[in-house]
Amino acid sequence: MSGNGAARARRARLSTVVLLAPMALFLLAVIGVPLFLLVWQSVADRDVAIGLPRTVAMLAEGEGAPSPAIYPALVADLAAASDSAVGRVARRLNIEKAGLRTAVLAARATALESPSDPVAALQAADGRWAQPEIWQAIRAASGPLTDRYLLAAIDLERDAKGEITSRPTELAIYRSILTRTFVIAASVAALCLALGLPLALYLASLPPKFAERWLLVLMLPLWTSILVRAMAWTLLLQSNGLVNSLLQRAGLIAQPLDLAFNRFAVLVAMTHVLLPFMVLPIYNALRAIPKTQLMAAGSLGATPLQSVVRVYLPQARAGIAAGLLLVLASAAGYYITPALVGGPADRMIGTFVELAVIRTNNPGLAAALGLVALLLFLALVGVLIAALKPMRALEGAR
Amino acid sequence: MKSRLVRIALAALIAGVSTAAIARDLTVISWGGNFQDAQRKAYFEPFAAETGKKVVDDSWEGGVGTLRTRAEAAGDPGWDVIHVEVEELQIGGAEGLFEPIDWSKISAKDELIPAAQNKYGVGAITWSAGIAYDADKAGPAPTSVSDFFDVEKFPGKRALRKGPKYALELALIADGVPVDQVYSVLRTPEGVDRAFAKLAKIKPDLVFFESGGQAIQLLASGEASQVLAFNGRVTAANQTDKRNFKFIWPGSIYALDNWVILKNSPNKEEALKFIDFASRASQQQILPQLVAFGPTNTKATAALPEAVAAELPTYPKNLAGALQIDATFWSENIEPLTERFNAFASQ
Repeated sequence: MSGNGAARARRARLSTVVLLAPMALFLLAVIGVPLFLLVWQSVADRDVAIGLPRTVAMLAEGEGAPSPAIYPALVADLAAASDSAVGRVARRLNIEKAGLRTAVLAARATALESPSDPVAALQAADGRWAQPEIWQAIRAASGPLTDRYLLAAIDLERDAKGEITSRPTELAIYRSILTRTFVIAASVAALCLALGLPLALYLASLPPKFAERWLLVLMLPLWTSILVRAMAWTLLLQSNGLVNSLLQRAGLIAQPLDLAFNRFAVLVAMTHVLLPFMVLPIYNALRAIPKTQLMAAGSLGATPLQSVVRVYLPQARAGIAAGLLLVLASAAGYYITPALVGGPADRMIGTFVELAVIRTNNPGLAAALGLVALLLFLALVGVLIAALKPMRALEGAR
Repeated sequence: MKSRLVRIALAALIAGVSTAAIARDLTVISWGGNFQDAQRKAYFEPFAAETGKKVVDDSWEGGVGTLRTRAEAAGDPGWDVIHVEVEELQIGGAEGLFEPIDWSKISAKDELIPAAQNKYGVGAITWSAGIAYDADKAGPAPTSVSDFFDVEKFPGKRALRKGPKYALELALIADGVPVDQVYSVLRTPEGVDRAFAKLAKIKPDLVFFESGGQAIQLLASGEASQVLAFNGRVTAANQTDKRNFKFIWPGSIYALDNWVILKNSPNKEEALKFIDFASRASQQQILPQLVAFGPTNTKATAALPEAVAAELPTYPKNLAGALQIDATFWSENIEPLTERFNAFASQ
């Protein structure tokens, strides 16, 4: 009998594993692997070591200026490497010091001619090969790991001695961009809550049949491309747009207001997009609360407002928290909408990740910015959850 | 019934997948707006008519990172022929992102100017970037790059392309640096600081655009009173939209764009045929009549009527006081200066 039971339990466990396996594999593929790649990309520094293995090995042997034997090693490396490997070395060294791209490409052209005197040939190809700085740059970029991108993502860098210092002020923007990102996300979440909570309360008070129709209307904007919606807001809000011309025609304003391409437009457009994500979870939570409780509260002498605030809403807290998290998480990752309807001072961290990938050709920095934003966001969520815990404990005590 | 439906769905799926795998139409990427409209008439449509094969065209806004992401993706990069700027040609060529050009297949090779004959690219057009304004608007007309930076005498927003290229050169020219010394000044850290300081003075009046077409829109809508624009788009707006935009030639910056073939393109041969077609004098002389960018084919240039030639970047009168872009400077500095420019713009 007991053996039978154990076998059944094993089968149950097995079927649980089998049933959960696809989801676990899916999560691993869409979250685990990309996350690992993100972390790896933000610290990996292998382009130079792969492109110039002999040179890097020789540089690793000693400090200070390298021996002249390094020149033949470099020529051998550059002659053996593929175009794209050399291109990566050039790009990486150009990040270390602007201008080294040309020096590497000139050396590559020289190396392919297999010069008899590598020292003279390289130094003739580009004067920088006679300077110690270029070898320091190669040494600094020889990997296999680096913290330069993670440091840059929080406005820090290493100086010539290897000490961590602040980046020059004209480049130190990422802390303020990260702060800006979370300020915008929090403002959007607050606006969505302010608009969405009354709406959810109203919808929950309607008979389900009517409420569902309104929910469909609410979700309508979700079926329109985010790009189209952003463009529509620009058309409405720009200085000769619909809103301004209506206000002017009504005689309410003399000069067009600055409505588009600023923070106001960003908040309006993002709240518009994200409002359903606030309303739906709250509505769902409210629906689960028996209406009879409100009547009971009323019969015990509570005013309508009191019964909503003290009986109804506390039970919907899980829905409100879910809505807040959903909106906050989505908003923090926005970049198309702020780029289209906002001004340069409203660009969020997503824009800078894109810039690093597409414009400045710096995937390491892009990964580091993404990682820092992710960690900050997780910390924020942790704080939110911790803040909700004592309340739950109180509830239990009551 | 159900099984028939399933079979039909499967067949459709397999047909869809296999056609996608066998033949993607030749995809050409350029810079959008009225420039790409003109390219469609001069190159894309005639080429499709001659070969009987469809040409798909789309636009981009530049950036080596875009090319690298596609070229290094597993399998089909999705794009075949791309119209690139000089530093993209240099960096992308060095990073192995392009297919080398088989020059034996370019029939008009000997008619092309030397700068158009590159290992990884075939010269497509010459263009100028400079200050443009609407001559129909009230107020004094700007006449120089310095006037772009003078917001007292010439009020209104200024539009620059979002990026350091041209913006830093213009800033130095306006700050009094002689045109032939712009890049030697810009090669020093002090020169870069000086250019940014000059830009900072008009920061409250600056707006930034991504694509060349947007610059024309900003001027047309009156959002900006002076814009950095590409000369051909300005004349095209005057022709097709009956505008009265003017382009300031002294202090403008000229350069050569190239056609390249993206690495791992499944349509390599077709792509090369297209570039061959687009290099012929017969096609190259159509484009300048629609949008005033210069041909790279000398025979095409020679065949142009004087009125068209006078609007081109390479016309002797237009070259006076103009600055040739320094491709090496930008291939070395585009990344750090773009980062700094973005920091400047977002603060």
